[in-house]
Amino acid sequence: MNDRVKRWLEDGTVDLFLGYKMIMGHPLPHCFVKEKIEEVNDLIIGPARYSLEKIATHIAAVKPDIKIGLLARDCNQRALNVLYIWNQLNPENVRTVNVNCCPSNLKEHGDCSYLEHEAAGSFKRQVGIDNNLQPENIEGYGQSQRLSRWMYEFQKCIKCYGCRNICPVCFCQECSLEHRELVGTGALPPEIPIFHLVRAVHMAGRCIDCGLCEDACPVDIPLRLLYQKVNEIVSDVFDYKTGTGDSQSPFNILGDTVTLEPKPIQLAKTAN
Amino acid sequence: MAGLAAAFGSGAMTNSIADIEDAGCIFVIGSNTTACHPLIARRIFRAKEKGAKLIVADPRNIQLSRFADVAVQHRLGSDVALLNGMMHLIIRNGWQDKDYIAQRTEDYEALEKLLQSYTPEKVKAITGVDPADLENMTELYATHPPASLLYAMGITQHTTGVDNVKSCCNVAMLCGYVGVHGGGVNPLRGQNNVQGACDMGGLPNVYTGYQPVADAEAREKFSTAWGTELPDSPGLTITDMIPAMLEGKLKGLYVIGENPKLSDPDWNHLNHALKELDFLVVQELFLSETAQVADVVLPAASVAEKDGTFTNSERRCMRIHKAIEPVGNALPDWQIIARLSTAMGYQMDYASPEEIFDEMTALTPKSYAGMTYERLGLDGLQWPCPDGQHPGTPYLHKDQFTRGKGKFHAVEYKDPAELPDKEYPYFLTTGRMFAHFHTGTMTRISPHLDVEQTTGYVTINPQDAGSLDIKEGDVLILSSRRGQMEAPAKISGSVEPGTLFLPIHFGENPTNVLTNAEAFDPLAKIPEFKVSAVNIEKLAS
Repeated sequence: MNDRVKRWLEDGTVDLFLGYKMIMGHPLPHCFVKEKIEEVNDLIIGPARYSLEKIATHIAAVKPDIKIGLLARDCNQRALNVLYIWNQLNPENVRTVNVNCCPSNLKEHGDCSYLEHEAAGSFKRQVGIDNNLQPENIEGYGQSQRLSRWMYEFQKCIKCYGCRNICPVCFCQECSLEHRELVGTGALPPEIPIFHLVRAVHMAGRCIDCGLCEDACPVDIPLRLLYQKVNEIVSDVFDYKTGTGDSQSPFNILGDTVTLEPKPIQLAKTAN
Repeated sequence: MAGLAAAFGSGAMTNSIADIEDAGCIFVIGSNTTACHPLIARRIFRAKEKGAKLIVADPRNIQLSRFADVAVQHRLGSDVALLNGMMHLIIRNGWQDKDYIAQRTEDYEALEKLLQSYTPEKVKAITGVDPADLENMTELYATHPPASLLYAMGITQHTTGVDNVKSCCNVAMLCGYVGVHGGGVNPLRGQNNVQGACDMGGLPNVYTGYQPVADAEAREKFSTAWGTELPDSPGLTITDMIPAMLEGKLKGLYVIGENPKLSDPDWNHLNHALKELDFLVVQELFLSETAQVADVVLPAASVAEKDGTFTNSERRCMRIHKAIEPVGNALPDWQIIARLSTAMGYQMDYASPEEIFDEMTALTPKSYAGMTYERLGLDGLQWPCPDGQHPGTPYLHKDQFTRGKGKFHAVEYKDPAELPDKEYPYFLTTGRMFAHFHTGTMTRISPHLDVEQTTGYVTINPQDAGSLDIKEGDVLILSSRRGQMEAPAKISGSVEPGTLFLPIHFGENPTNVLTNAEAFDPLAKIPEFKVSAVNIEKLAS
């Protein structure tokens, strides 16, 4: 892998390569470049995950023609697919080094062992939602319990926006979560459940189930589970499998005031 | 910090942030943790979900109250009575840790005697807390070891701030919770480096690591190291500086990274004082309210533009790394200070912050001596770290207290300096909201944070709003013995009837027009921001 990345940087296949490097005991995202080719010896695969493709969109927004290489696990690949479909990245300019997910034979689901949550504590199991559950487990609770359990989870929210900020497929210029008419401001917890439902609706047909939102959530809200459910609906109703295929989700909720335009690449082109 | 130092010998959070997760019970008093210390709130939630009990005592109904096994809204400033009431019940039920008290503490008898009178009925009369709630919270705290006590400005910003802290220390020692993993008395510091600033001697009476200025040996050591004779008397606290300015004894003021125009307890009083100055210098990132009236503003580099260290609430000293060069002609604080000192005739030559750090660690044997930039790595080290092999200290007072024995203080309840009366019938308390930091110098210019709350406001209970015919957003005139200000009403059950809450972040609605500079703790000199008496009326439309 390291030789291939070196070759790519040297022969100009890519202008930069996004991967990980161990820095003082922590595997951190790192941008490898030709000028410091010796650093590529330190390029490592894991065990950390980060939305490298999100960093790529930020770079592409400033330099639309730059050729970006990156380390891609299954979830990164699904995210890249969504970003190509939504014109956030140009597939012509992206090269990936595909690597296995963390040790797991569940490649079809893209699950990796890194995502396994610690066992939920007694109080959380009693009144909240165990992050290890699957959507079908939640159905078993019945409607009123489901509501009270989700509300318990939501009312812990400290409105840090970590879920949105880490999300590889959150790229709107204007975020509905910051729209006063949709979500009230100035209080903790934020207006619930609307804050989380607005985001859930946006994740339908968009979420690639990487679980980074849940990793980032400081108060352990089972966000991945919530978005798995909305994607299940998109799959059942529209037969659309997010992260695969080459078309945008048929489920679309563009309103009058919230717009996805202009996309960063086009914006950068206009700016030139 | 004075209260903690008197009881334990060390003025800092006793335990670590991560080990709050392992508490059997968490007692939060005077801290709106989710809004002001969200990542510490994370630990509280995680502990709670694992089965820990949670007690919240706060005059306001806060986000954490929803998760508490017992949440009480005690009357503003009645903390000593509440804590004494808990201790009364602990002793009555025999829940105190007798071995711990005998072996590790002193002066217990005087406290025990004083506590006899703090019956639940007396405590209810002072605090308004129902005796059944008091009994429940006491039982949870005393019978779910280890219990971690967390507090913030709700405990300290009172005329009885030191008494309040001493009472927190008393209750924790009574149950043997100090010096154990998952327990402790944990003041949550309000700023990323306020612990570090205090550790560095950013106080008028100490050098680094709290070595007293008045101590001849310490003074001699620093005088030798710095090659100049150092003064033997402590300097002035900010509370003392203001009268000194008014009396013409203090003619020049150099303010670094503070915005006293908003953070000082009495706006009018401070403005008079500032006018008496011959010269005001402010070193800031942005043009704060105080910088706007300065004679000279020195542009300081932001966190992203400098190298150095911060020491956080849990005594963890961590490196910060420069990401970009300073914008414009800004400089890191250490360079500004070194240049200024050199210009004033005392040569300061340092090539890097690391050189300063090494000088400091060599002069700070007990707490920082074992730290180097290399050892700090990414995770930092928690003091005390006395030598190069020492792994740092996750919790203090393990086998013995820093001062030897833990000292109980028999503390009698005292009323706040100002209570509501006919003329000023409402209690006013001040505090923070989650989106803004302190006086808003940084957060109010961030669009993402500003969108949450663009103006000041006053929180009023629906019952009071109803009786004064106040609707959401109506502008109210608030007046106290010091002055008056206006703010739009936010109607919410988070405050009790008869109590108002004002956030401190908003220069156009300056809370400190109302608060009292005359009321401060006699020892720590911290002003009573948390209690004043005010009147309100609706602005005629």
